[in-house]
Amino acid sequence: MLRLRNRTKSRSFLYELNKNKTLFIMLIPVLIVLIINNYLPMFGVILAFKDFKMSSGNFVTSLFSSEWVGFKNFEFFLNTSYGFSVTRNTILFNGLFIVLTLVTAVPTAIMLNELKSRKLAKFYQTAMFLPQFMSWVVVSFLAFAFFSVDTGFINKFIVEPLGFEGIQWYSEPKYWLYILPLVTIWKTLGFNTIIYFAGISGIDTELYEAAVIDGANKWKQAIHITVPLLTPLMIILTLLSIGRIFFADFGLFFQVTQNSGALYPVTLVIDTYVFNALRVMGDPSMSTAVGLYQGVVGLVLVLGSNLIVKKINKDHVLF
Amino acid sequence: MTSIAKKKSNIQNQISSPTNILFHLIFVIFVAFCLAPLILIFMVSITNESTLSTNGYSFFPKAFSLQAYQYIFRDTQQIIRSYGVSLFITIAGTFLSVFIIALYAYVISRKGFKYRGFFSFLVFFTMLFNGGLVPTFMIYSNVLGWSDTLFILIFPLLVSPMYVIIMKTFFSSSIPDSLVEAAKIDGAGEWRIFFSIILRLSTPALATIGLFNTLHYWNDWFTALLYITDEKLIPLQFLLYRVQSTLEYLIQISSQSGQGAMTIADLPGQSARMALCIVTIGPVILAFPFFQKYFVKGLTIGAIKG
Amino acid sequence: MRFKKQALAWAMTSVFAFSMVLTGCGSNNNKTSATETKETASQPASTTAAATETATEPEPAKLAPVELNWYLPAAPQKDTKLVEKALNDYLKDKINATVHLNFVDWGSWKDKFPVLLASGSNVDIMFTAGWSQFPQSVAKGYFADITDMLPKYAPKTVENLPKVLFEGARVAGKIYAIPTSKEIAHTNGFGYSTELAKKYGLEEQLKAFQTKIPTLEDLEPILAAVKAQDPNVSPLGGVYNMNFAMTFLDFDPVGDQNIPGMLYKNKDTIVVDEYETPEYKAIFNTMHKYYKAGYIRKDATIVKDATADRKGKKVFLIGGTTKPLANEEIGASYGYELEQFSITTPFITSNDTQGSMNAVVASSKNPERALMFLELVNMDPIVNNILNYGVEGTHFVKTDVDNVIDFAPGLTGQNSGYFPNAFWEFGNQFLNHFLVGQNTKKWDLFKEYNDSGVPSKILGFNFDAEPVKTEIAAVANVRDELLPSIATGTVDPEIFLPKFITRMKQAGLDKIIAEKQKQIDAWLATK
Repeated sequence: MLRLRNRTKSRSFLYELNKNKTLFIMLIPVLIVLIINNYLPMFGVILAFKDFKMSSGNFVTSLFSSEWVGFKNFEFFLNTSYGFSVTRNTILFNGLFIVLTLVTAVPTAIMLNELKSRKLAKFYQTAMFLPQFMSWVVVSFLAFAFFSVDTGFINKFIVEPLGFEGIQWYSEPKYWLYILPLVTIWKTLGFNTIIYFAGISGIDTELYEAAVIDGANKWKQAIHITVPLLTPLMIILTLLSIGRIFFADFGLFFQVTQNSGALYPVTLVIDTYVFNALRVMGDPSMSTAVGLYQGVVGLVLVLGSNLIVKKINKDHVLF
Repeated sequence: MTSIAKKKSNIQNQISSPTNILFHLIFVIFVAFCLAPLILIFMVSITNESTLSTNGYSFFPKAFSLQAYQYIFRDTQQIIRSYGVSLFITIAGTFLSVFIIALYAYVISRKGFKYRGFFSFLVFFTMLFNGGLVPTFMIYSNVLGWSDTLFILIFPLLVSPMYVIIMKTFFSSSIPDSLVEAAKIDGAGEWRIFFSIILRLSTPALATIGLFNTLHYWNDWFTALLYITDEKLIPLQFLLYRVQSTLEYLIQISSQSGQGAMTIADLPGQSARMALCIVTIGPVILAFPFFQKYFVKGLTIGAIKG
Repeated sequence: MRFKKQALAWAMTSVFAFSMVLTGCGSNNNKTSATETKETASQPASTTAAATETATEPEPAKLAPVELNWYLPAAPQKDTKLVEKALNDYLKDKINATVHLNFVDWGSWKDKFPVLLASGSNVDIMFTAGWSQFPQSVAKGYFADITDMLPKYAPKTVENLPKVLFEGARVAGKIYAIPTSKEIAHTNGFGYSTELAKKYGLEEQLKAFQTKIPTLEDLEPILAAVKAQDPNVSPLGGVYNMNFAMTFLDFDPVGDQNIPGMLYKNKDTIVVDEYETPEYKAIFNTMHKYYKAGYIRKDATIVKDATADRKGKKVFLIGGTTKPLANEEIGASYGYELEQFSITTPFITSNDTQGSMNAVVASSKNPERALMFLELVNMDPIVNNILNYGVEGTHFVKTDVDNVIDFAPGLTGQNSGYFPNAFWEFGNQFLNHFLVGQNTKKWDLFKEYNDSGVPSKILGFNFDAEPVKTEIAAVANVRDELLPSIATGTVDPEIFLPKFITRMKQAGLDKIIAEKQKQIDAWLATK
């Protein structure tokens, strides 16, 4: 029975291959890159379960002859008092970023599309994209110029003139619940807007013209045409972000907070925790273990959300 | 659909002036938040370093200095060559990358293609898992021997899973299957459909992915860090990265080895890092309009059909 | 390019308490009697002769040609190819090896060298150091055990380098690298602007510290005076990770300072949790007092780079290491006159002896030849000076004074096609030629300084962190979270220190200390 099914499966694959030869050929270039760049080196993940020792001149043979240590390389982040808070911070911040991105980027793209002056729209688009180019180090300097206790703009020009004592921004975790999302949106809005803007550009204008004839105003057009047509894009981008929900933006959490220990209860996320942890040892097995763990969590979450999407609308699934 | 009719309908179908003004207002405020820091960065980059330490950042610095730029551009020959390398890999990489991504994305966007789920997953999977630095380095450097070639600066960045999936979504949401079917009935081959229908209808998508790829290539320094030792092949970003990372590394070492920080005195300070930011952004701002012209309104599928 | 190179190398020198003058003065220092080679006409006599002998010892005819790849952190040089050629022409008759110099810029070094080692790439000689994961690399099996090969292939190096240096290169009794002969001891201390000191009328008080080592408490009158006279100047500065408890008490760190568990300086070999010692607590209390008094900047916990403030004279007492003449060099780069005083006595730990080493990589196909080459680097002045200064006539010229050279006409340290300015990486420094204008008093001072250094009781012991790497990773975050605010005095140690200690113990501190103790006891038993 099983064999039979296998045979029909392989036969149908050959049939497909033959029928859609051109389509398969179109896949080849990307597949070559993926195989060389991603799938061939994938054997390296077993490093996560090994205590790597260089026993020969060759990485591969050394890797395979190294001792298996089970999940020992995972212990340093799973088995600590930080486990809970780090996981919570990572997921909550990233979750917040996903939602905020959706509710800001889509309206911004729609607004941008509706502006009467195309020239100004292009100017806005370019300007909004600029923060994307500022490395986190530069952003951290700017943030410091704002938040420094003694010399920061906020304390010097707002807080102190109002007669309050300067706020110790870098030792008060509560403020960072707002600062970090703000900085993130500021930096990524231009980027995300462009995707949705391109999505809107791809919408057939005939649809809007038909709507005008039906007497729909702009607001109705946005709700009934633009948003529904952008939904697949919104879903896919959200699914992709969910896959990366366990990967935090290192620069944001490390540089912008100046890695201030006092903020750790709020700002310590997986990537910064691991960075601090491995700065001393620099152990490749342990960093591979973390990457694997982050990937597995991401995969589980994406498969789950993908299933939900599938139940609601089959056309919008990631795969 | 004639162009006159189109223009007319556009005129009818516009937001009201008050709304327009409100939108502009929102954008002006947000854009100010994006531009002001950049202007500040520029001002800091031309501020004298000692003025920075006494007065802090200011839009109107008391003493100017071009030292930061002199520091960055001290080896003009190298800078020019690196600009060349960066331009080459960015242009070649972007075109190649957009092309192969579009091919792949088109196939997995076809609803009739039986294995679209599998091939989508194959791409997505690489977004979550990788074998790590050492195995990848081994394959490129020891097995393939691509170190110190221009090709190695292009190849690893050719396929970003996220771009493939975004492109696929663009295709499947803006190109109706019926169009492809109709073309097939007309006797068009797959290649012809791809080139004359899909690509033509997807300029905003191609421009978006092209823009992202441009940035990706332009900003990449890590590939060069790993694989390039020949100074002739060093891209601009890596050259600039060195300036910045060297300082950070030294600060870390000095604090780790506990030797205190009675050190690092002659390295570039904050002004140089701001100058690096300006030098990096410049060319990309110039490239931006090129992509923007593809974000046009009014592509109509009907026009293609007819 | 040049400016950067010079700047980088300059910074590195200071970092490792090294010595070399900004204008690119060649430098060398050594515990041995090599210092008499200075500007006097005397040849680097005995050493040179000996080196030449060594070099000719192996019969070149019998040696098959080999290629050697050497990786070092340094600013890449324009004329490296040219220099390689000159070097290899010379080496051909000596050891018949073709050496490739691979300079990896400083910013990339930490990312690149582990990948090169782990992937089994074509590397024969790798620069290494305590701060560049030397013990970890040995534990991972990246470096060849050269204990037995050394006497055979690099006999003169073994004979000439100070024995104390080789102790640092040992792991579990075996030697894994050849250390560079460099300054060995360390002292902690402070520098201050003489101009500001005069302005505040503190000259006499500060001068007194040069003869009588002050405690942290002793500094209070100074700090108070500065605070009272100029509120814009931070009396004690304060920088993230600057742990004054560590700098004043100078505990013996048993390897990497970031791994807790230390020995009292020159007392016994019992590993203690330094944070639980009364001495640490006393210093933290004083720091908190100083913080409240405003002697320390409010954001001390997050300021990582205070260079700008120091240059701008916004900090009065500048913490750091106080090797001889450090004040002159750093003062020169800050642009004002600095004076310095020490707060500890010269001390030699493994960290000091591991500042700069070169290891033969385990996967090297020609470890013997690599050692023979390192022997020349350490003993042959011609090889050594090609590496440091490039090609004679192209990059440097000899002067009338013997052993003193100058840049080739029209060249400076900044525009020469080859001037790595990393003397302390290329083996034995006392083989270096001198550059015109070099301060010659320096080496006598250094010799004196090194001789006064007291070696640690566990010098030569290297902690193998592998068995407790999980715990080390865990305590690192606790440390980063709480220690900066305690150490800078930002928070009250009465409340936070016990909290910190509890958290460290939860993270596995005791296990690390027990492991350290176990390894030290085992090591002592073999001595």
